[in-house]
Amino acid sequence: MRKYVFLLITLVFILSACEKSDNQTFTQSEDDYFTYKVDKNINSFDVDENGILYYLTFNAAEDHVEYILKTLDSKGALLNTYPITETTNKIVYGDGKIYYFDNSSGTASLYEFSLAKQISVKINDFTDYSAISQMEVIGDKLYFLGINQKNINKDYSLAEINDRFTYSGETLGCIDLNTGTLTELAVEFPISFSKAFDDNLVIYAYDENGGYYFIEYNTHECGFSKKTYHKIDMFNQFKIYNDKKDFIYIKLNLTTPLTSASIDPDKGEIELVPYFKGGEMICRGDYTYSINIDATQIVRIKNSSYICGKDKITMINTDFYEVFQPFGCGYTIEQKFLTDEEMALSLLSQDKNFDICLMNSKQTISANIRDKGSFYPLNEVEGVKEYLEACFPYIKDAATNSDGDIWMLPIAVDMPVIFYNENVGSEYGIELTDSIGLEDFFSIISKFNENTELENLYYYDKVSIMNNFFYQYLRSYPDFNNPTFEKLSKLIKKEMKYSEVRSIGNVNLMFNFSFYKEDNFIFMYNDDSSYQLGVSERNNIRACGLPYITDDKTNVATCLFLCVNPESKNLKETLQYTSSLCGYLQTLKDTMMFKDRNIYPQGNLMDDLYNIYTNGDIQFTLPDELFMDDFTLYLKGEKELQDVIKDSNRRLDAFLTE
Amino acid sequence: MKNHSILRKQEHKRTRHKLKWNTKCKLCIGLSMIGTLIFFVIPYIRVLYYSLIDNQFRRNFVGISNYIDTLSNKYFLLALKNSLLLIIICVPVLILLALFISLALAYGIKRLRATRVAFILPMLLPTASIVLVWRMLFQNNETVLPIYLLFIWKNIGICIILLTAAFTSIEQEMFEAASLEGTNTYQLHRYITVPLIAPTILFTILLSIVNSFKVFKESYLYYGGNYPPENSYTLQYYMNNNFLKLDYQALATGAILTSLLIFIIVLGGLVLQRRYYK
Repeated sequence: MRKYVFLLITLVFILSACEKSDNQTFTQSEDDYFTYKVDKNINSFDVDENGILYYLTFNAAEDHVEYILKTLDSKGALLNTYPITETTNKIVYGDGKIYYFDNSSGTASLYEFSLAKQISVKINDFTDYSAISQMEVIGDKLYFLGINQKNINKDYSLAEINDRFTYSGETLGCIDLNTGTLTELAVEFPISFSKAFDDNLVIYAYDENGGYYFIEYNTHECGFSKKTYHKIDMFNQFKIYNDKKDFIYIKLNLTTPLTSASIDPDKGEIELVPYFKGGEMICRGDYTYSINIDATQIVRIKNSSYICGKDKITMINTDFYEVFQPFGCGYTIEQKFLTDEEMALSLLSQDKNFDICLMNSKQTISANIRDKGSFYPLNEVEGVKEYLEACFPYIKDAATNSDGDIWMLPIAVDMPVIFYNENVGSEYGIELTDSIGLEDFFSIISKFNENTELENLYYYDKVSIMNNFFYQYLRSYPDFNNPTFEKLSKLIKKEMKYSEVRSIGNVNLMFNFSFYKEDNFIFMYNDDSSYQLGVSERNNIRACGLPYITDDKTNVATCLFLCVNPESKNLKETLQYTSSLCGYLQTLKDTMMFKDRNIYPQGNLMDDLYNIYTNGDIQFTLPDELFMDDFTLYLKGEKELQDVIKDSNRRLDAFLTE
Repeated sequence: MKNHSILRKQEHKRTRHKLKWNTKCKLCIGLSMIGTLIFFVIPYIRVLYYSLIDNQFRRNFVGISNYIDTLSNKYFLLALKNSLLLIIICVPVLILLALFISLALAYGIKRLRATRVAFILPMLLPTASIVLVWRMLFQNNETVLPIYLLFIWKNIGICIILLTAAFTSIEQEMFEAASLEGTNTYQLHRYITVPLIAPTILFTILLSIVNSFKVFKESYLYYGGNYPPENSYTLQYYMNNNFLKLDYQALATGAILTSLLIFIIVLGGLVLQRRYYK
């Protein structure tokens, strides 16, 4: 009996030692994210099956360019250096040899460089081809993607009007390395391809009828599989990294993350590394290698270290924020868009099938989640308290309910800001300071209305400004029967007038300011913190908040946040994701939420923005139908102000007390 | 002896047949009862439970506190008043109109019979399209009249069908026999028609009352929002708005109180019917 007990205990110990702890937090080691010390001018690289890295660099002399091939071991130590006599910018490794195209004579000439003999031999010339962007060697065949001059003017149409696909003659070819003969693969609009673990090719291409799709090419039988249409958008390249044919690519969204996805569109995606500014990519074993976008570094990422979680994390959201999704932190995030009613039903019915609710304080339902307790308290989740401590105090206050529960995790905070150029303003007799009063604000708007010369020098969003004034008003007054509201309403009607268009003035100002650094404007309104942070280093421009209309002298802020479903069937992983997201948000500090001034750029404009954001107050919104719909009728001249006040008071009272 | 044995066998056969029949009936009713249990009784008990706790996540028992809050909420009371007004004003008008038209269809005007399909049409038309027409007819009218009229117009069809069926099911021989006895028209209807169709009238009244609690879609579309003029704010609005505010306790309490009200009205109707027959 004792023997069995001893065996059982030993077995339990062994099993518990083998089990990977789920609570283990990911700490990045050198092996997880390794940067090779390489020459700055990197043209191309490849990695062999032993992890030896081959990269092509060049030295630009006065009269010629010298190409050099270098090899590094897996720890980044230089192994060998080989001079390359031809002009090339793309190499591929295959069976102890390096292959490359020389395009200098206008014809693509394929060369084979033997690493053992250190000599290069021309295989063949291919007259119609240029700009070879991708190559793979499988057996004695070299597959490549390049531009075929004959296909440049090929007509095509888009399956969806919003598709970003463009075609400039890209053709997929196969060269027999023994004979030098070329055959084209019958894929009409190829975008990218990758070698799979079974030595087949997975091709990403475009179809005029169905849009983007994947297709597999069997290199042994020379046949194609069925097309798998994918919702994934345009991207430059992808690489298969496991035998399930999952692939790595750089997603073209706000955070440009290195992302893992599957050919099966239903399996979702995993965002691994944010702001990944990568160029050419290679996957070998468990590692992804990439040149950065400036061609100055090669990084190696251990895929398995970045992929977390076993199950999908389902994030529900109304169509309010259709585009935005917080960084995935290595978890598969599935977004579901619901109507307000569907979301209320999911929350009330304690639906176990969603894990996270992504909301904005502009959405009416958001404060109800706090008030009715439809959230999992995040107080004990690792990193949440530290994260909130690092944020401005009013953000922490908004994230904590009256019982002390942390009911939401703020992701971004936005405030309306007026950018102004003092010099241009004074040229036209418009004085702007860092604290504008309500009358001054509307007198400036009045000047814009009167003087047509100024129409290209200002921009504002009428609805957003109106909403902001109403938020300010409603946090101080319980009803609309007040002289402040009447005064505000009359000023808005007189100076902002009713029109279907909400953007007033020159709508290109924002783009010109951020992209071309053009600062020839007087007044520009913006309420997006990521934009504001993006332009914060322009020191000849100043910023101020909207005027205060009540005695409450804090700036109205709106907050994008997530809260966790207490009934989630995947609660453990969801909380781990929340913890990882906190770490990500706090490390990157790419939002205007943190009280430490030193993490932001130095300068006047940033000082102004920081001061505005320091003095904030997150506002939870009331439904538009309570007063905005009637107020619009007043602006149109279809309803008297007194009637608007009367009806709005009735609705507001019902909303607050029913 | 032999006859006795045959009789016993026949009796046994009859009992077995009866048992089989009873089993079949129980099976049929049982299936229906399971459905009712799953889709009505259990959810109802759950709603009742939610009306007695503070929050569906914390689940602290608060007794009748939610009921006290709801019964002292001025908007619940306003909604209750408006819902009862709808019953008091519209249901009698609806039943009288339906009775009158049914009587005409069953015994009177032949030409009216040709138009009887028209009375069913409001039931078939989508509410959204009816409301569009209604808004054109009652432009800028913020009184409750359009909703009352819409309710009557939408529900009159089913009332007419039920009452006409009841009228036409009365055997003609009864009227002929009574006529031979020398009864006049008033007495005919007073002592034959009304007693025979009374259960149908009661059923029609109860159905109309239940339907009156469901006047929401029409009102919501007509006023275009969750906050109609005060005179049109009914119990459905109260519950719908609390649903959108995630206030499950107010919603559950409102639902329980509304169901109790309907239950009391139906029970009252049944008591009246029994008294009438006694």
